[in-house]
Amino acid sequence: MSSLFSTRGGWIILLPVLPLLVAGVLTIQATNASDQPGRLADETVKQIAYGAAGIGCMILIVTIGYLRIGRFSYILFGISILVLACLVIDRWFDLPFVPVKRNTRRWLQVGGLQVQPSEMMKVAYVLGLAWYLRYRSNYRTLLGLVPPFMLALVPMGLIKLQPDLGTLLLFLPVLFVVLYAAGAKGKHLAAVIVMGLLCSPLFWTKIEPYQQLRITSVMLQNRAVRDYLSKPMPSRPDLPTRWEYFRPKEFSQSRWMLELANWENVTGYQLTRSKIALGSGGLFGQGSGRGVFVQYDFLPERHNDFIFAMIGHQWGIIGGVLTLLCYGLIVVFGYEIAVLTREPFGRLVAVGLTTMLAFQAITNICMAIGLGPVTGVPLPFVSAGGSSLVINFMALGLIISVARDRPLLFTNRPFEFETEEEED
Amino acid sequence: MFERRLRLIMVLMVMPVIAVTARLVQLQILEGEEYASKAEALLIKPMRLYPCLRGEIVDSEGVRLAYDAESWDICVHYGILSEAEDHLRAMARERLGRRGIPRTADNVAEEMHKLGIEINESWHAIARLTGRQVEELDAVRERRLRQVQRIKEVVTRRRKIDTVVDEERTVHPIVQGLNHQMCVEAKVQLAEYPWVEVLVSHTRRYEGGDAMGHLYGMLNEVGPDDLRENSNNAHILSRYLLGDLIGRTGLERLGEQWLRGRRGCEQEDLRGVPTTQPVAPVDGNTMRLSLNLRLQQYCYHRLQAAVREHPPSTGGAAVILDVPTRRVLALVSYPAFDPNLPDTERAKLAAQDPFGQPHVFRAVHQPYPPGSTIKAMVLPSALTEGKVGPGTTYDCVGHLFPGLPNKWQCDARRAHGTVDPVLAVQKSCNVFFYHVGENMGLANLVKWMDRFGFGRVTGIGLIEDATGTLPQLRRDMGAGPARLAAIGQGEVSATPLQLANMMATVASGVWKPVTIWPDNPDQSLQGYALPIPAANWRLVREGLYKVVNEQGGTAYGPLRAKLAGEEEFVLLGKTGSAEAPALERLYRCRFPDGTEKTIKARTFRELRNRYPEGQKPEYISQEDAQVYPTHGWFVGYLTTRGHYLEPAIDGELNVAIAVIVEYAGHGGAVAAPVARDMLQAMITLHRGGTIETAPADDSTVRSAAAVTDAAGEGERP
Repeated sequence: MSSLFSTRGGWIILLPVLPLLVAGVLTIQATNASDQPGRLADETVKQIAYGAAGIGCMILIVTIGYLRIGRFSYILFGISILVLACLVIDRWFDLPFVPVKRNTRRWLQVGGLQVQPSEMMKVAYVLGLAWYLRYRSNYRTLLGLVPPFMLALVPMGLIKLQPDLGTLLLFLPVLFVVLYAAGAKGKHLAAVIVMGLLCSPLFWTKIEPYQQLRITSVMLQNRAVRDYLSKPMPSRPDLPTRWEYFRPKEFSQSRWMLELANWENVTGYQLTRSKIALGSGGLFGQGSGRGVFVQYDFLPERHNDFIFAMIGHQWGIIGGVLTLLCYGLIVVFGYEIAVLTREPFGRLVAVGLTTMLAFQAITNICMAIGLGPVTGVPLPFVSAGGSSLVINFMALGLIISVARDRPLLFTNRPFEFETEEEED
Repeated sequence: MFERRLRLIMVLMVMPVIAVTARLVQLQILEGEEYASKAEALLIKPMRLYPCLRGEIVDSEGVRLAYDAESWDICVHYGILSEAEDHLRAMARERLGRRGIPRTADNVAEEMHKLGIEINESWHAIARLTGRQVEELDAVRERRLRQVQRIKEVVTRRRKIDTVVDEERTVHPIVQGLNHQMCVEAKVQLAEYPWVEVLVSHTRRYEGGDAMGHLYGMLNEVGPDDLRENSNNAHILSRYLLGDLIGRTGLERLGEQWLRGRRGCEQEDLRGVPTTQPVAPVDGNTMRLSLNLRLQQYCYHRLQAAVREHPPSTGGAAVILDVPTRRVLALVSYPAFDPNLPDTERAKLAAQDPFGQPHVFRAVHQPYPPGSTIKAMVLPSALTEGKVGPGTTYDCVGHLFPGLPNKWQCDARRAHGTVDPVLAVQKSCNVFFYHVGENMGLANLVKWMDRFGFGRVTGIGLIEDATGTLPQLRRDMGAGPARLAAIGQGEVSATPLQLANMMATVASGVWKPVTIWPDNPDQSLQGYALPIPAANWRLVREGLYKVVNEQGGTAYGPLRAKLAGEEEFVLLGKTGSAEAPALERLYRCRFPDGTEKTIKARTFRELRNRYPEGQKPEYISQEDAQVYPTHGWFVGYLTTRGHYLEPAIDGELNVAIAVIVEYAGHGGAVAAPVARDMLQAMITLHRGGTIETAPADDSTVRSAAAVTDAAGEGERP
């Protein structure tokens, strides 16, 4: 294995990325060009262009080297925070370059392009976190965990105000994995997780009603659960249904009952359709560019957030498992690069970015198959979307750069708290 | 440690991979078939329904009376009617897609704006084409939206789910009843608006003119209540959908299930593959009436002439029944209206003619006091009860009690002397029947009235069929109400149809339900023979014969009921002159400025409505405005000359008749000639001759009115 990661070995991480990119482009072309055969759809052209731009950025980053970029980690983090803050400021002062879509502020208008600052934030956050953690030893104490958590909570707070729940929740697993990998005490992290879980009811009350609905959708997709919730509770005869417990105060009682009764056509609409698209793919799928869901627009956002359903629809369970395998390989290669790197900043960057990609993929796939709430997190390298594609390739560039540019200076293993390991 | 921890994280990350894989196996392999069929179901387009024709109504000779004539409707899709943003956006996206323009938010918004302008243009184009105001179309649009919304509410309440109803996916008629030429123009001019469709449809047409006005009844669109009470809501092909017509009154209601038919359907998926076997529409059945249109029209115009002859007569009715089968041969009510009149116009009829009340189906719906005609059933009842014998006689001095000439009167001009039962019927002697009533008692009389069909439906099946009223039995009543009931005044009332059926019962000795539609599947009422011995019937028929055919009868004479030059058939009958409530009264009232006036009006409420607020008068007293003439009745039946005393059950032309001319005076002078003419027309028809079915012109009416009633024998009820 280690021979692969000699000077040029980092490029191998592109091996699982290319099939994902191809699958994405094929699906985007199939779903957008059904009425103009033989021509590339505009969305396809855009995706290819963004892919090329992303690869260009990746090569640029590899050329520059992650260490040189790493010096500007805090500055990048600060800039990203400022840009995110712009979106928040727009709530009170209307800024011309912030478009409002469906009552959310997630994009910046730069010329003809729309960029998503929260995508940039993900990478800047990993860099900032890794830069903070590279030599420190005080995160071994509980109090020492406060600065890294602040690094996560500030962007999370800003993203909460956009609002973009899916992106927001990506920061926590990255934080925990990076902290754990860096050597934070397991019991400290466990204590924080327990505290977080205890605070989660508070978090529940602070999110929008539609976000609550999306979270409850995970259990509501089961008809038995819906039937159970729609029955009155024996101990509380004043409530018409058990479902009443979940009612946000913004919703009237009748609206809430309708929501449950009509779940498949309202909140559960996309999920229901997504499961049909996947399920009708079967073992081998309907074939590339074929199938009911490719020809007809039955699934909203099918080329975007729900592209995994289209992969399963076209290429069956084989396509789905291969997609999973690709992400698995990205994780394996990314972590392998981290393991082989002795330089603490580099290896934390590799771990953080790999985890970021992996959790995006898991969040998106779980959403499409009904194991997680519906969020706007795209499937990395597959979903149509410029910002996400370019940023993901930049993340790849950083990981490759870690593999190529690790300083030979560190021939010994860096200082580690081997002695306290047993306590974890 | 770093490496070990990373390995641990990797192992932890295998867990979601396993979970995802397991879920994929569940969705795509275990439940794959199920989801595949669900995917197929998404492709199915809403069912296309094809309307059927409503059945025709024909008369006994097969003449077409009511039918669906082809016409065209301009229909607009519900999404355009409701201007729902989702629908407009979907349309805009589709249009962009067809032109190959990227569907960005800005492009869609711009296209939606353009679409809005085009929709507006299309409304103006429809208005221009059909010569209507845009506001009118807007009102129709609003009505359609309300209808769909109400249906949605009903469905939502029933299913407890906010669902999309079929009506939200289809087109709805905005302008109806286009002829062929307009249809072609509309198709050409509205071709550029794909949401506007010109669809073939049908308009119900009614033949026969005013004579048939009341009979067809109302036919209009179903409402949410009908949809809720859908009797056959099992299948979409036979249940009521919005836009369907439903008979509300008259024959259209009576034959609703028979006439409706069953719509056809066709269903295919988005790829154009049929998903079910297409079903052809089945037209409604033909409803064949026992009515004869020519006779009906003749009777209507004859009645019209009679009413016009006798001011202040407000109207009249006539019924001709076949005695053996009780089939209705003519059922006439005057004044009437054109059956093709739209519902909105019909609603105004009552206000337009407050005295004539043309909307009332008098022949079956209006109970009148039967007057002396009821004696035809009181006498056989009394004979059977033994309260009066064939030889019983009473002395008539013109009134019941000696020394009280103004109470319980008979003939005001002349006393009848000693009266036996036959003479009492012939001369319609009230004094005789006062005694009969007294002897029988009210309870007994009511029992017999019930046997003769009073106070009950006739069985014709029309919703308009009224029961009339029977006198109420009270404690300590005395003989008064019984005496009144025996001469058909007081609380007893009956419709002309009931009286015709009473006469048919007298003719045959059997009560039977009346029918206008021999194929009516609902035959719940059973006929029965009355428990009256034949000798009693003969006595009554003898009296009825003498009424028309012997000197001294109330309907005797060439200007009354005598059939001219008729050898084969003979008419038996009974006249009646029923005292009726005054049409107008004199109201004494005080105005706010202190003045008192006497004003003539139908009701006091109507009088008050003549004055603006603040000047409305207060009620002081009231009195009759004038002495109104009585309602003129004639009821009778036609039978074979030789056997008129025997039950008329198998003769060729056993028909019973009832004629009333409101506020026209003496029945023998007014109604009897009308009945005679109708029956003569009937005989002419029977012998294959032709009769006048167009209105008699005014000169004949006037000449008939000029002839004075020479042979009239005055009669007071």
